[in-house]
Amino acid sequence: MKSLMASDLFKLKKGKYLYGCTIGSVLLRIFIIIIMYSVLQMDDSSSASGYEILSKAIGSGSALLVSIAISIFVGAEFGFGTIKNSATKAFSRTRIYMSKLLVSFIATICILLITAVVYVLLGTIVFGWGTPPDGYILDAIAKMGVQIYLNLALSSMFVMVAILIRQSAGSIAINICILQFAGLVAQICSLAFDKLFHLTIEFSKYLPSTIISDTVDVEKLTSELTIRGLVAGAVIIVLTTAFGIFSLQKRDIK
Amino acid sequence: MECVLRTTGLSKKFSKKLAVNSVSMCVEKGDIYGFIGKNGAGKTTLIRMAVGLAAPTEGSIELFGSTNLTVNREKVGTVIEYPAIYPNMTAKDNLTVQCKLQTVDTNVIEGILDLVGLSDTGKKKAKNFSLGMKQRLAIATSLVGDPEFLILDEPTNGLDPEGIKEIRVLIQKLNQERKITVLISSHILGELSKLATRYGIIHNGQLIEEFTEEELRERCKSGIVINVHKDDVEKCTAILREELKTTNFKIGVDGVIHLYDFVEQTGMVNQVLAKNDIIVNSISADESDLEDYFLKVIGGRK
Repeated sequence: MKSLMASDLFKLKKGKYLYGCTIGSVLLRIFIIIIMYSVLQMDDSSSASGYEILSKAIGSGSALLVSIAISIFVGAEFGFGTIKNSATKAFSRTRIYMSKLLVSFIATICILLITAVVYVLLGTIVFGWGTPPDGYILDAIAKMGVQIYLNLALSSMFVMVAILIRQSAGSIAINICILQFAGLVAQICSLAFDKLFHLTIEFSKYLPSTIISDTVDVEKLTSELTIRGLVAGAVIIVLTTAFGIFSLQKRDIK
Repeated sequence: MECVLRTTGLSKKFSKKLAVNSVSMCVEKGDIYGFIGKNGAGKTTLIRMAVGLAAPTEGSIELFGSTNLTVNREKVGTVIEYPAIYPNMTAKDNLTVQCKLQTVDTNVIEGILDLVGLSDTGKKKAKNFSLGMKQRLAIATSLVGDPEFLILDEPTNGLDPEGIKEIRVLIQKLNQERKITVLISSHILGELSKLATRYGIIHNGQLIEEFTEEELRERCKSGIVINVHKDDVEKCTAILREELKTTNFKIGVDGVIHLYDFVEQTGMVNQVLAKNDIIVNSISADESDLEDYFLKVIGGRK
């Protein structure tokens, strides 16, 4: 496992896509700062500060770029056929999958943290740090923790999709569709449940993107929100990993 | 003799099609085993099962005399169909990935690159390599960890004659100098016959023959070619009929006589003709090659 991860980390380090996606994510935040600055110039009643940005620094804004990086990282192994180099050695398919998953988690954390650091630093430079209320920083760090965790749940899904699709371009397309249409599908499911079984279940409440937005919007992180985030994340990680491993084990490698 | 790879009743079914049908084969230690078959005969499917990329439907596989394949696959290097390399990395980086994967010291990289003739590629990325160089890089990757057994599936596919020769020389070098057993499948039978020491022919998923280099040579001896002056052809055939009591011959359009008896007695035939005042310009064994033999074998099995 250690050697699989060492090899995967080396590939990640050599892949330009990781740097490209990180730069893209950072540029996106710089663009947001510019927009915020322009709005503040026109509207005196609004305000912004570095500490306020801290609790939004992770968010779900990098998910798209993370999905691209992971789709390329995992999908390319099948595209180039290099998955054969590890699958023909003394590694079980489960280990190969787990290595890809853990290295994808590392890539996700790198992209998120670099983006967050630049976002907060630039926000502080432009708007000043400000005076945070008591307990704000701890709460913001807790929010960031939940947001990172839910982003990892999304990454787990991206890895599963790439393993199922077995090519980079297709995986990128499917992962982007999942990010874009998950909310819509959740709403349709809620409607269907209501019509068919007269059950009111708000499926969208359990989507990582919804929970991340909730953590950004609420003033203080509640235990309900934390538990909802932790449970939803755990369910996604466990299910996608189990399904991904099952698929990798059962299907032949071409 | 020790079998490096042994399959027993190995089968693979894709929905209703039996791609590999109960194949029992043995690749002996030290062999360069030429695995021959038409497209879709089942070569690659069998190789995929042997290296762990596909699960057999039935049958068993032994590597180095053991069914513990996961451990023994460490001793096997593979190149399946096309070069499995990272195009955006240099040759050295490609080997570094494999060294990290197999927990091998990266000091071995220079030696391996030197062996396959890629030591001077420097910072050139693999995507800019010629197909022959890519194939050699793939072989280099398979050599990380000092494998005892190399499985090469169509390693000369798409290569020009020079590239094919390079790969052949490399395989011979690995077999002779490093004592690596090689299983190689190829369509280029002429090239394979310069390399292989044992052969297996697979047709419609079934292994129909296994034979050694010597056995092939014997089987390819199909007759004697006698070249005499055109005025002597008739006299010569009369002698064959009367003295050697055979009618098993044909006269070619060029006047050359193809005798299908006395294959092992070229000298005696020559002596009989000379005794009867026939001037023999040349007399030799009529040998077909691996390609002819392969076509002959599978020809009757359509």
